[in-house]
Amino acid sequence: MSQSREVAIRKNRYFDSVFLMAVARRLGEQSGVSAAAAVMGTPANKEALIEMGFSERKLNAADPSDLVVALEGDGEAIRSLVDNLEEWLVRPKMELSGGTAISVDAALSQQGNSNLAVISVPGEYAAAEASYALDHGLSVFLFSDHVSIEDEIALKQKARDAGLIVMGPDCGTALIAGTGVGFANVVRRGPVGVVASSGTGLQEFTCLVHRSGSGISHGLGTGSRDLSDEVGGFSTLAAIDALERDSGTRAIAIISKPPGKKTLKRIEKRLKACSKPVVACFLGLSPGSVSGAKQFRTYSTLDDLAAAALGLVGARPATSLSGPNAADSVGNEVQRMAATQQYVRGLFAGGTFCYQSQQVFQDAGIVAYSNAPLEGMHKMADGNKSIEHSLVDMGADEFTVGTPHPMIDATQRARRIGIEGQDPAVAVLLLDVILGYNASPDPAGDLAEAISTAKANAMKDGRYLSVAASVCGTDGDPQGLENQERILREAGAMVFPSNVQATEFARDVILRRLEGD
Amino acid sequence: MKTAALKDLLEQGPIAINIGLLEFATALQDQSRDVIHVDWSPRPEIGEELKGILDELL
Repeated sequence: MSQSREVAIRKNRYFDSVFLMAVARRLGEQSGVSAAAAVMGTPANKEALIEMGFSERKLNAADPSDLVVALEGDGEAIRSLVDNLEEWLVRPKMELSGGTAISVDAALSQQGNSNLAVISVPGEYAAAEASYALDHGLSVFLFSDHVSIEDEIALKQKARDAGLIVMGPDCGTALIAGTGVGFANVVRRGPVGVVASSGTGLQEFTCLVHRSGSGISHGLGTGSRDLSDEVGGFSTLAAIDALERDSGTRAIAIISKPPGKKTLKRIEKRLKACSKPVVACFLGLSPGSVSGAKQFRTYSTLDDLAAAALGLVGARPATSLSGPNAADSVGNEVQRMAATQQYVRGLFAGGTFCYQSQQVFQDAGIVAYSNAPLEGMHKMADGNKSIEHSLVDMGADEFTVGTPHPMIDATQRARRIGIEGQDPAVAVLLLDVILGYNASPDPAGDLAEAISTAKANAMKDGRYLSVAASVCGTDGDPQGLENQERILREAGAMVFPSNVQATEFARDVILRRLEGD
Repeated sequence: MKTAALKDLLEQGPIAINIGLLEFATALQDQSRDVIHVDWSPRPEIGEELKGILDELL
């Protein structure tokens, strides 16, 4: 069979990335097709296709507003697909009761009381759309990334002057008056307000509060750079102001990576004047290094933060949030392992979970490699090649250019589970499974076969592979918490209610191995 | 500083205009929120020649 390559360009045809990834996946599954891509003709996308061997001359004709479909495989098969390309570009009909509009202006006319713009267009266009929304009195949830820091600052200054908020850029999650925006879980309303620069951090915290019987007033995302000294915390400060005024909020929790020094001082100063108690988790920053008001305390993990926030509103963590009996579980797992098995491999969909697991390891004196290392950990030379203890953020850019995020599509993570499971040095696979709106409809099912196959293959080789998985979700989520946990258990995983607990289990296995047990 | 607009968002909940991924709009609708989806596309790039003609006309 002769291998050919075809590039088809459709001028001024825009489709969003999620739809195009689904198109590419379906095309790639057709007989005779060995590789398929469907992307907009941005410089980065064209460069990636040229690197894959597609014609630079043909690709140069594509502009960012053009659709590019690139196929490799049997000549006849791929020419037939290109000839009938329109069939593959038909979007399943989704009825929206509010309808669709041909422009933002038209949408503003149709729905005059709009108060939020949810923006997820490519980064190079996102700032203009966000600015336009702010000019028309709308706050902004800005999912798009690759927005310049200058644009971010300008947008946030504009929002501040208008009494609005920009949640983002690179904001994955918000909970506003009980409504989840972006990747959010179904969480009951309650007295705890949250400000978070991390989407999965916000999800984990709100799920832990919900599963303890309490609830969330609002969870406001800020974007991953908001507390950097360049940006200066505009959105965090706006969110604190809003939650302090909000009558339904009795305590405030802040979740972030370590803030810039100047910005941390600014936040501390603001919190000293806050009339409501505040607790914070600055992942990677020692709690003792932050000095705030009497009522401002910091914690090193999201579990501790949730327990503290619950305490402030007269609640406590539910006993159901205790995972498998740690001491017994560790002993049972370790005694079945071969002498070669020494290391943990963490494969995470949530960047915050990768970060937090490193923190738990660091606190125990265990050094790990990561593609997104915490200070004191080692940087992986190649995120695809694990070394000793490796904790990998598989939602990082290096894994998601042109392919779906692992919260939506588990293909890459399932493949990696197989690879790590074959390594005779691996003792524990550490995983996260994230439920909620816009996540995969069956994230546990997506990984189940890979888990059970990896365990069976290890067994054949005379090893015992331990798999520890945490599920970030609630009983109200579309995927069903109990159902997802059951699927993981049936695949042979130990299931924990939080990333911290799963990581502590992995840590204890390693410490036991070091003791020579 | 003005504060009414954000207060209004928190009190009323989102009444949204969705610009981008359709899935975000359907998730809001599934939660019984008012949402309008904008059939967005980037503005086509205008060539220099056409730009010149438009400049003359306008």
